[in-house]
Amino acid sequence: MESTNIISPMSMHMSMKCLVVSLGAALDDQLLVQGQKSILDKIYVDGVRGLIIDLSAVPVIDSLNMKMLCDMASMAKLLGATSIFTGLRPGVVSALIDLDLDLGDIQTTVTLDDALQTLRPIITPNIDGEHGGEAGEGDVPTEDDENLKEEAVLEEEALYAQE
Amino acid sequence: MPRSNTTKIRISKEVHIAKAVYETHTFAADIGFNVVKQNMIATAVSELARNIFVYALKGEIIIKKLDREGMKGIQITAQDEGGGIQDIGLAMKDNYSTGDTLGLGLPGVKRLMDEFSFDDKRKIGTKITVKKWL
Repeated sequence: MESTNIISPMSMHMSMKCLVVSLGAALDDQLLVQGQKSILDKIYVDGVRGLIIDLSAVPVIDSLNMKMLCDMASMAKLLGATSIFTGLRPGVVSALIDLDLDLGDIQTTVTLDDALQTLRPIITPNIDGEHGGEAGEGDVPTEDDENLKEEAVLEEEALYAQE
Repeated sequence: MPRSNTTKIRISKEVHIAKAVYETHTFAADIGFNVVKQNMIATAVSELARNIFVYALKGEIIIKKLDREGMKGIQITAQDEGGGIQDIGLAMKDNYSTGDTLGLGLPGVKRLMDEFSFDDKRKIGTKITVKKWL
């Protein structure tokens, strides 16, 4: 786990190939624009496959905020990362529906656990030669990949051992 | 406990939108709206304040507590001295926009609140009043 030092109302954590972004209390345009940039950079540089945007601390999302978040998900998609919004509050959801926004095909989950579960096949490297979700499709495994797999398996086992 | 029954927030910078949203939350909570409704009212205010900031550059949001024959509620007035809304009928249509934003979001604001009124006698600028009852 590592976190990056960008402005405080937003924090980022990497776990395997998944980037978890937690947004704090009030969203403002500047934060979102800046955040979008850092997130896209990180996806590109670190080869992030899954992006989880945790909105559980955000009480109000207006139409522009939501559009920016949806745009960010679309951009992440173009960079090969699947995005999931998690923890939307009931009041936020009611408001978003009343605002009648075009939410595109965003994926959402209630809890962070569910989001990680959904992304699991994508963010964990292929195990047992099976292609995991979108991630491995069309890839021919090479020796390097095999080594990486082994490393990843070890890493995962270590993670479980910690739990 | 209740401070004053009215508060006025000037909108001329983007941070003022957040301030208006915050004040609305406090007011709505004070009146007794539940969290879900507080969030919905605050979203409506966010839309209105954003319209002021984007289209008129400056204006004000006035939040007022309502108490009419035992019915409690909140009233929010958004007013500015900007270009005004030329065709309110058109602005109230979903997905209509003149600026580069997503539209005025007015149909959404109307759905979020219980009452919506647009002052069409006003010659300069825009004045929109919305209410929500407890």
